[in-house]
Order: sequence, then C-alpha cells, then structure tokens
Amino acid sequence: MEDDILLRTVVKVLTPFIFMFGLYVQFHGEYSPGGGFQAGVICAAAFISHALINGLGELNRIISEKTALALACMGVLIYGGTGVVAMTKCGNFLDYSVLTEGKCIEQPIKGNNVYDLVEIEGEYQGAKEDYVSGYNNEKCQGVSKSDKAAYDAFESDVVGAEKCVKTKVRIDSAIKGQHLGIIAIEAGVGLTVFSVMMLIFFIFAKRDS
Amino acid sequence: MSLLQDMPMVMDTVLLFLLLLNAIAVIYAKDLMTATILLGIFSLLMAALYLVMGAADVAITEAAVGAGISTILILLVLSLVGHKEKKVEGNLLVPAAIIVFVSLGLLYATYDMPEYGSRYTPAQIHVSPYYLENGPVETGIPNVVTSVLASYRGFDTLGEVVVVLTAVLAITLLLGRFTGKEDK
Repeated sequence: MEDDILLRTVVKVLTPFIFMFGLYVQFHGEYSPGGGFQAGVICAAAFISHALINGLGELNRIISEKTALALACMGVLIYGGTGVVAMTKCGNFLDYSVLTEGKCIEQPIKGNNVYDLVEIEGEYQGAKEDYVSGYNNEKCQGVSKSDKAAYDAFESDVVGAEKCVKTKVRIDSAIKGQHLGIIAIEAGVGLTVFSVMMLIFFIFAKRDS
Repeated sequence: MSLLQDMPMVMDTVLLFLLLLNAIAVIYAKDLMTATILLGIFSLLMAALYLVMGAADVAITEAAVGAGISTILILLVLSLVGHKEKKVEGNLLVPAAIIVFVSLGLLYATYDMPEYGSRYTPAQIHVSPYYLENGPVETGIPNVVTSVLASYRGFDTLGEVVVVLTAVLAITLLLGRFTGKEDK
C-alpha cells in the first residue's frame, strides 16, 4: 500500500480536508448535525489514513500510544469536571445553567419550611412558562424597563411585564451557561473518542510487526 | 399524485432494494476484502436512508463510524489474518435451521412495530414534544438532537463516554502489552 502513487497522492490531498471537516463538525455541533462523537471519529480517520500510507513511525512522531491513553482519560475528566463545576455553583451534577453564575453561597431562601420553597419553585416555573409562551408568541420579546410601548401593552399587568424581564435575564444567563457547558462536554467527548480510535489502531497495527 | 410528492417513497424503495442487493453480494463475496468494502457501501446506503428519514445526526454517525472507521479497522485486521475465507466443514443443517427460525421470529415481531413514520408512537408522544417545544428556548441551541444528547440527557452521554473508555482500556490490557515502557 505504501508504494502506490495513486493512493499516496489521494490520501495526501484528502487528509487535511478530512481533518478540517472533523474540526468543523466538532465546533458546529449546536447548529449542524454531529457533535463530539462524530468529530472524534472523523479526525481519527484522517490520522489513521495518514498512518496507513506513511507507516506507523510517522504517526508515532505526532502522537504516541501513551499520549493517546492520557488524552482519552482527559476527555472523560473534562466531561465529569464540567458536572462538578456546576455542583460548586449550587447546581445539580451536569446542570450547565448555573455555569455562568458566581460562586455558590449557601443561603436560606425566604424561610426554611418546605412550603416556602414549593411556592418559590412554583413562582419560577410559572414565570418560565410565561417566558416560553412569550417566546412563542413574541409577547415577551424586546421587553425592557425603558421600553414604553411594551409597558403600555402590559399596562393592565405591570407585574407581569416585570416578571417577564426578570425571567428573561435569568434565562439568558442560563442559556449562556448551557452553551458553555455543552461546548466543554462536546470537547471532552471528541477528545476521548479520537484517542480511543487512535489507541485501537495502534494496538492492532503493532501486532502486525 | 405527482412523482415529486412521492419522492421520499421512491427513494426509500430504491435504497432498500439496493441494501438487499448489497447484503446478498456480501454473502456471495469470495474475498473478505470485497466483503469489507461491500459492508462499507452498505453503511453508506444506510446513511442515505437515515437522511431521507430526516435523521441527519444518525446519518453522519453511520457514515463516519460504519463506512469510515470500522471499514478501516476491519481492513487492518484483514492485513493481519489474510483475506481468504476459511472453508467451513461439517453439517450446516443446524446453523441454517437456527437462522431460518430466528428470521421468522423477527419477521413475526415486525407486526408489533408501529406504522412506518407514524406520529402516534410512544417515542413521539411522551417527552419528544417537550424537547421540541422547549429545547431551543431553554438551552438556546437550534439543533434539538444536540440539546437532548448533551444537556437533557447529559448523564447518559457521560455514561456512554465512560463505556468507550472502559472498552479501550480492556483492549489495551488484553492485546496491547502496554507496560508504560516503549516497545522494541
């Protein structure tokens, strides 16, 4: 295989494009099909076809077996670490919504009895539903405190409009956190899958010699 | 009805027919190398079928994993074990009977499957509507598949990644002779 000029040329030309496509799939996981898993596989395919043509030694120069194993573990650590970071900010494990918020300080909200908490939770859920329905019929969009027209529209229910603004701020921050978290965990998935594919290739290719 | 309206139906039929031809060709391929390439084509046809169904994420996975990396890995294995099939000896009646029996069972089971493309299956009416309605709002991500896999079902995906890592660790321990020192 290593002497075939046709194969050599085709692989040499295609490899950078395959790798580039893999990176594209990685970074556009939120907008286009694919994500970390597919990106890792595509990038690994680029490296493996490079190694098939140029020999294992050439690949070993770029990435060694030991490095691949370390990277595979690192990917899982990044994924799990994102979850733990969320926990340090008063969120649940892997709850990305809190990632952009500050450090968590334990504070009793209103009271300590369970009815208060249920009430707060209910309020938040209600506000969220308002926002979701507002998002859908564009009721809440573009509402701000200085927006006179929007306030007039809500004149009968100023509290409702204020709630709308508050919830919007809260949800916008949550969306930023979600974005950050998903980018982090996709990177972890991509890294692990890429290294795992490389490791499998290394192990089988080494048995050849 | 015009041909244009029937297009998905026509594509499905053509692709499924090609899949059938491909599967038969794999069985009759004498050379294992040929069979591997045919299996790669099978995966590519499958990816096209998923694309017709509108499952772009599944299609790209099938193309990358099924047609791409697993073909490369099987070729690598073939370079170790040779690409001539070993002649099977002995009575083939029992294996053939098992295959026929299982196939009939699976065919019977398809009667319990929901209608193709039905909107009223449990998968479509349970949590999917919630994800479709709230996914873009709550996560701010237009690709609903990503928002489900990475956010709503983030814990499952973590498990998936751990499974992949565990699998490669097992392979390394069994086959890799990985001691931490450089092999000579």
